[in-house]
Amino acid sequence: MRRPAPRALSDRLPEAPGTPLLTGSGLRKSFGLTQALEDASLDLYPGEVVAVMGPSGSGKSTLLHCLAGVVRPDAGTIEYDGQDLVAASDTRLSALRRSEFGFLFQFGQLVPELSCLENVALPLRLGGRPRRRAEHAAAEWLDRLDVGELAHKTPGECSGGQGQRVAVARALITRPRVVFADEPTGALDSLNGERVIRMLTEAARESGAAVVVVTHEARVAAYADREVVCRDGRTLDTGGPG
Amino acid sequence: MSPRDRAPAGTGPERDRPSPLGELLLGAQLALRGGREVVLRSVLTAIGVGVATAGLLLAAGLPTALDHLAERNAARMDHQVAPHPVPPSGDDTLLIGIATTLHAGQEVHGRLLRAEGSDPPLPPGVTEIPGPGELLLSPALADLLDAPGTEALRSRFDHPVVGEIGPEGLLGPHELAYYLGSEDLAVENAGIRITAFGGEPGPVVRGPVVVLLGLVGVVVMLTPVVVFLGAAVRFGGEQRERRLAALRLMGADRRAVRRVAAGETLPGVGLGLVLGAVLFYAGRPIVETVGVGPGLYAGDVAPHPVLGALVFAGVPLLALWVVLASLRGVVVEPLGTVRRAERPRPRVWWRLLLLVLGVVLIWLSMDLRTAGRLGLPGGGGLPMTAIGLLAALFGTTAVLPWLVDRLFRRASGGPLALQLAQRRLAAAGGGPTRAVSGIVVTVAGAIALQSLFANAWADASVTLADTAQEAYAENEFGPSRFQVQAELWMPPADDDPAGTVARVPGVEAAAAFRTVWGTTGDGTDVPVHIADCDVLRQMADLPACSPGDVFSALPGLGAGDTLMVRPREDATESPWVLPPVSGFEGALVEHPWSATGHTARDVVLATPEAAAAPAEIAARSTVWIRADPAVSGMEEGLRHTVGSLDPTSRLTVPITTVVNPAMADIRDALVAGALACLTVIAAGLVVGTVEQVRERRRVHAVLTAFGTRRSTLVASVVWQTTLPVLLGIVLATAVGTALGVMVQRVAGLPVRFIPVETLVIAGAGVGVAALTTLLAVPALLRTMRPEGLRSE
Repeated sequence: MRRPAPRALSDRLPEAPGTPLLTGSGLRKSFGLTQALEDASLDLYPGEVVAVMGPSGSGKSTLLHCLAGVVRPDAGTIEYDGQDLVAASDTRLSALRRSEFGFLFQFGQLVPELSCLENVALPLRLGGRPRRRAEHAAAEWLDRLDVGELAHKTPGECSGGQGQRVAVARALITRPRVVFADEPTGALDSLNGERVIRMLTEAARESGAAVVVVTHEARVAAYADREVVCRDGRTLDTGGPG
Repeated sequence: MSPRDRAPAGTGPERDRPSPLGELLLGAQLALRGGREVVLRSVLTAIGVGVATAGLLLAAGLPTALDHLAERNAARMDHQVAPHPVPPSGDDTLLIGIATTLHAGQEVHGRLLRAEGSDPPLPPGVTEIPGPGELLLSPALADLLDAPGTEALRSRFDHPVVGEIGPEGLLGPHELAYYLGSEDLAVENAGIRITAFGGEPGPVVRGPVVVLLGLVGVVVMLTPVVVFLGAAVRFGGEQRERRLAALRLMGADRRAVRRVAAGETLPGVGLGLVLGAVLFYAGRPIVETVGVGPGLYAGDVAPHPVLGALVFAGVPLLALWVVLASLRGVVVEPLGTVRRAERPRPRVWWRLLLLVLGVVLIWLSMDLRTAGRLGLPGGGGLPMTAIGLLAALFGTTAVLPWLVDRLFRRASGGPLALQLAQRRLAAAGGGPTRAVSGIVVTVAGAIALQSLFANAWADASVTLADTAQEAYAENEFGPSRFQVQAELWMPPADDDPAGTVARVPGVEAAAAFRTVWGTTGDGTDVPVHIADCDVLRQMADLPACSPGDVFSALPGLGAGDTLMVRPREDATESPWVLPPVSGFEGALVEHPWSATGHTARDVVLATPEAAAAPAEIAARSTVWIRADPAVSGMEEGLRHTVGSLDPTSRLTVPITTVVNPAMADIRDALVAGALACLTVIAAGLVVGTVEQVRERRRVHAVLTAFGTRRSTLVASVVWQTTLPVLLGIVLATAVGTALGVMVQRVAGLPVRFIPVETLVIAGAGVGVAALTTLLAVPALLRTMRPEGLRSE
């Protein structure tokens, strides 16, 4: 398994950024008495891979959920490609998740009743793509991620690492502009974990997608262009593209 | 080339529009490909939809069945369509004689037939008029005659059977009917000349009670199915909600998720519709075995096209509504499913409003009816009553969650099991009470229906006397204290009907006389009774009597006058020159049921020697009988003897109670229907309870792990099921009785209560709860293993 050597910050950036694709600023979110986000901000530029790191309970997953429009913040602004996500309707947010965003979680995101091929094709079908065409595209993505032989198996018949690669294929099949990955290697051993994060970042870079990956593992963060540290609900940018 | 363009082929920049149909199909695919729970849910849904479809198709077939019954009844009309005046005999004329009789309280439709030419009209279901002494039997009568214990009846049909009456000539498969060829039948005796069978079917009676029964019956029948479907679609709910959350994360919006959820029920619904149609068509022959009255043929129960289409469209919609209702209160978000944390407290106002609205509508329809502004049947008051009834029934179920909340939210004390149950009931809100709502509707509805039937029963059962002895004593007439009268329209020639009847065990005395009709010169019609002096003395207080005497005080009638006599109207007349005529005092003795107060001024009594009835006149015979009702089988023996003498005879015996046996069957069927509904509800309750237990398996495992006794947990589940059921049954009994009273008032019937049936139905409801709990216990015990603590 090829492991990239940690690169100097200036080497990691694919190109000089212009306007951020996604901006979250001054984000606050509490769940009951628990303050998950205090004053968190993050700018995401097109095509870059950002790792959000921090200890458990620091608010990194909540930050990712807020940026993805899955959870609405109590305060602050989120702007995606000029659109205010805080004020966006559920329908609009659903449409964004369907076409512009991709998701990868630690586990549980594959539908156990469907085959791997059908799982990967699902976002396209939800978008209205005819089944045959959706599954044709899904098969290509499965091949691309070296899991083509799993097309007709169900997630229950796959190993954890295989399942996550299927999930990567599903996250990328709509050619999203942003992929949100929440501890994508958390349930995998180190070998499979690295394989998944490598494939995710390579595939995302090839398709031009930006990636926000929440992790507490330095070896996963090493694949990112930039790291943002989250602590007590606040963010600290350890290196920006500017 | 931008990086996005380097993506694998097929994921080009196209942006498709989400398709609702695609989402429905996706849901269907998930159901077909799903795990055990999804397949089980689909099967349960199919069963629920199938039962609903079959039941509703049956209900949709009832109007057609009634129409078919009316058409068959009309097709065999004979004496009702006989031409008048009587046409001359010809090739195309047929003589019929009404020979309908009774056997063990059941009517036996009978006709004597005599073809007068080569081309007589044929009754429906008959291919050839039977020859003299030949019999055609309905299958039911043929079976009855073959059955043991019907020897007496068999003696009346001691003729060669030459065929069977076809279904088109019978009201139903259970009708007892026969056609007997006769060479003695004539217009002069019991014969009626007809040239064709069949008339216009009369309007099918659909009185307010029938319509109300139908409406309430359909709702009461549908409710348990809805309850069952409600439980079925919730089965495997946890997994479904996880799946839907995954779809939300992938960009399905809330409406899309609901469509996918609805789509998941499509295979079950589709299968259910097929199952329902199969159940209906396969089960249709069963209606032929239902022996209410003449019964129905399987072919009669054909769904009305419009109603059938409504069923096939309505049941899937109902199932979809139940699915969507089951998702109410569940918010499917991309990160998982949440139930609304703060469950709103049940508000009482709209629940009571529904109940009150129902009651007001029923009262209003009653008020309008009594005011005469709206009429029953068919008036505008009927829909109002039906809507009121349904609103009241569902209002009652709506009040239940509020009651449960009120009673159990602050309840404390009692053993731990009871406390757990109370807390769970207060926290779970609608869930446990939802299934109980089905019991409430069924029990309340069935009690209300039973109340209506209490009247139908009372109307169909009229008690005239407490005992047969009392009835016979009350019907005594004449100095010889006769109680029974037999009328023979075509008595056998040269026979002594009184002597034959007197030989029947239990008959103490019999006297016979013959009757012809005479017309005086001025056109006055007068009955002429002919009997020997012994019998005439029992008919009137005669001064003296010897053979050849005639008695009458008809003005202007005397010796040498001529009376034109005939055996019946329209028959050929013969002149009778009267001998000297004597008067008599007092009233003529008559049978109390046909007494018209004849005296000597409007009747003629003659001895046979006075030759009032020429030999060629077939005079009607009347036999008066004194009998001992205590002698077993006397009445049946009498009926068979008289029937053997003359199939067209009519026997009038004192009766204690007039009973319509069909009503008892219907009442039993209603109780059976209510029990069947409760069984469907029980199935729903079992599914619901097992699912609830599954959902709480982790809590149960935790409670078991730190030492909670199994008996405590079992008892808590028992309490949890029993408490709302008991509450519901009490509520349903009270409301059902009240509704029954109101509906009886609306239908213009006297108010009657039905304590026995109410207890049976309410008891069955409690039994259903007990059975349900017992069936759920194994599943409950399985959840109590500490291994349940392990997460997947």
